Amino acid sequence: MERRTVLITGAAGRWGRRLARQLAKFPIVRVIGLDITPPERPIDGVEYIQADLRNPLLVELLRTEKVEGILHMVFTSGLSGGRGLLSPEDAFQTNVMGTMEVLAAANAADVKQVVIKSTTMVYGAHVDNPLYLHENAPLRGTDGKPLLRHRYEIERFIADFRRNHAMNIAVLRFPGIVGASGASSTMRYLGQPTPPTLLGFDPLMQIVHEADVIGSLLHALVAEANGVFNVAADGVMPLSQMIRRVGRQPLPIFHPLAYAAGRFGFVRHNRLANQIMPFELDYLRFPWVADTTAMRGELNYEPRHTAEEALDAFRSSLRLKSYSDLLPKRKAYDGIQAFLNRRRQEDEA
Amino acid sequence: MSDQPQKRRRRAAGGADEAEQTIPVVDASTEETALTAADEYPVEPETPIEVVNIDNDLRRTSQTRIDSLLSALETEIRALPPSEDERESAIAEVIHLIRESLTRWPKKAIEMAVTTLKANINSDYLDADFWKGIGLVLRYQLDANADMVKRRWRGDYAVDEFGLDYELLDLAKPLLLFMYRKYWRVEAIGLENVPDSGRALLVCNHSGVLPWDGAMVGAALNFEHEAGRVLRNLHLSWFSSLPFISPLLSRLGQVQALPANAEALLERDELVGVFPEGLKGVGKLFKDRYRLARFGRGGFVKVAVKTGAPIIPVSIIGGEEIHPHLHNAKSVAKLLGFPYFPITPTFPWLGPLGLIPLPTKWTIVFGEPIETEQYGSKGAEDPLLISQLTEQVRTTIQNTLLDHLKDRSNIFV
Repeated sequence: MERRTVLITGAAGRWGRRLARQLAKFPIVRVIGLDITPPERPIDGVEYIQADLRNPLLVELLRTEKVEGILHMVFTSGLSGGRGLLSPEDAFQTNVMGTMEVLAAANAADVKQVVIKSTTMVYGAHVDNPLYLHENAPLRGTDGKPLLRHRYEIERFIADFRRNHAMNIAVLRFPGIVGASGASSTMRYLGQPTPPTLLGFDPLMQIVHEADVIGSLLHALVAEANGVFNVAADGVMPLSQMIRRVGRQPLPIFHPLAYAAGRFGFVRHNRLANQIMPFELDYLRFPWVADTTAMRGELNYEPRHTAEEALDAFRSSLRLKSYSDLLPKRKAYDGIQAFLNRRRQEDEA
Repeated sequence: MSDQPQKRRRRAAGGADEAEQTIPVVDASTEETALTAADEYPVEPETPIEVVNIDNDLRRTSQTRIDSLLSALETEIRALPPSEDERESAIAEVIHLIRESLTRWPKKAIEMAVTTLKANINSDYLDADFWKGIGLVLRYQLDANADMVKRRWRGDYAVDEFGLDYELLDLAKPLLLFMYRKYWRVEAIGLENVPDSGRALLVCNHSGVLPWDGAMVGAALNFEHEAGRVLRNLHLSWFSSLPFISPLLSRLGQVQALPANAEALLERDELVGVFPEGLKGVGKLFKDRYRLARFGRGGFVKVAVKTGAPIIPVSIIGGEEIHPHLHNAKSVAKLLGFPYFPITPTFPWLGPLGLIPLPTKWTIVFGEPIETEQYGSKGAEDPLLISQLTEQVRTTIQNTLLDHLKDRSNIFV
């Protein structure tokens, strides 16, 4: 049987790495990983290409390798990762221009399916938001942090691109991502000893389990989905409840003070302040909950974890954070145990 | 009493045919029959609509169970040989008192309390067992309350899809009950027009400076309607921008008045309350009382037609006099960013005391439902149909108001 080729851009990054690991398990799929930095721990069965995304040879690569699907996971915050600090301009080049070029190249090389990860933050948090935002709701998250601006630009470009090109593009919008890994802005916010909230405001919030992020992205690739879909876990809950559920207590701040502080440039661009409050304050004040009927309907994806399960998994990982040195041993023990059990079963059979 | 567990097991085994049974009529003659009757869980016939309101149903079922327990107790008290100073009204009062004080307890505690009361109804109050029982119930309640605080501290509670927190709603009930029964002595007419399950849009006249009317319509449906339904009122968008008020309204089941929200609620078969007069209604001047303001742009009718929900016109009499709004101080309102700033005989002169409403006598009339299903979802695009329906609803409410005003001699009686 002929193997089908899938290209993962940003394959060394957080999401690219996990997607590659999952995809490499299927013998029918050939996985090519593209990233500007080499992977820390290469995954078996994945061919890595170290190259810049904005590259005239990208079309050639897609054509010669007969790539059928692209998981476009490049999105840099400009701050983290192995490639050091990027200037805002470079980050824009990578995020927005990079996406444009990937789409153009994919179209030229007759790629069937492109999957892109986005965020429900693009809807913006506004006082007059309906409680459940459908995919066709106006994107009003423009005055946020620069990274949100990038997402917005990408979404606008894709909407335009769709009008003139027949290629399948699936854009999945995710709310805050929570799970056991602890590596997302939402988790860094929730995992603080006392996450700051706004006094007298407690909007309904929505999250998604990281396993469902991976699961839905792969599902969109395999099911050849076309369109924009909100993907979120079942179960909305007030922000304060979310914080309490991970074993923390909220620290309410008088909102005019918080907004006033945010107006100062040295607070806005302060690294510590951004760690404490990774969102625009409006996102802790007004609802931005997305409707997931299309996820169940057209996309036909059923999330595997509820919001409660995601938060509980995160809480457990927080509790074990200081024992991280012991965890590999624990994992190895479980591995041996599983191996022995399997052997025993085989012997019996 | 000893064969109770056995019975329960038997019921569990042959559930299907027993599920059809409703509560048998309580017979006061023997305690055995009364207990069995009370122990039955009435199961309602399954309809696809009810699947959505699981929370509601659970509540309703346990409420009926407690009601049957209470009525069993009532028949027992009535069956007591009357002593010299006991009259019929005294008994009624005792029963009423028991019912009132029990409503804010957890369901399990009510069950224990009623059983204890029943077992001790003929016995001397000096009996040690009686006090032991009371102590047990009190301790149970303390435990339950402590447990609730602990659970909320851990974030271990649930809100529904639109942010309604049933535990908080239960906490607010005593106040609502007091305002409903004692303060405004609300009389609800035509509750049978509100369906036991499924969607409906309740359209009400709005008034009173502070939106107490929505709370009282909700109270009528929760306390007096057979199904004990929860009303989701749509509130002004302005409230959503206010600290404390915005989360409080949301936890109590109120939702911001946006067509998309109303549609989503009706699609989930909820009861939705709207006040199409909006700001013009709640900030109505005293001289304009019971004169309906413009009904918005008919957006509520559009939503009802689109979702096929029946429209129930609701007329509230008495609510328009609770705060006589003599003058709207627009400049002060503008300064404070309020939509209006009322000058009433007591506000702002008496400060916060001026927020105490007048104890008028209220009547809430639930009118006959206006079906919209026959127009189909396409009907929402027909401006003529929308304006006709809007006018029909408005006229019905206005006429009902006039009919009741005609017979009213005094606003306080």
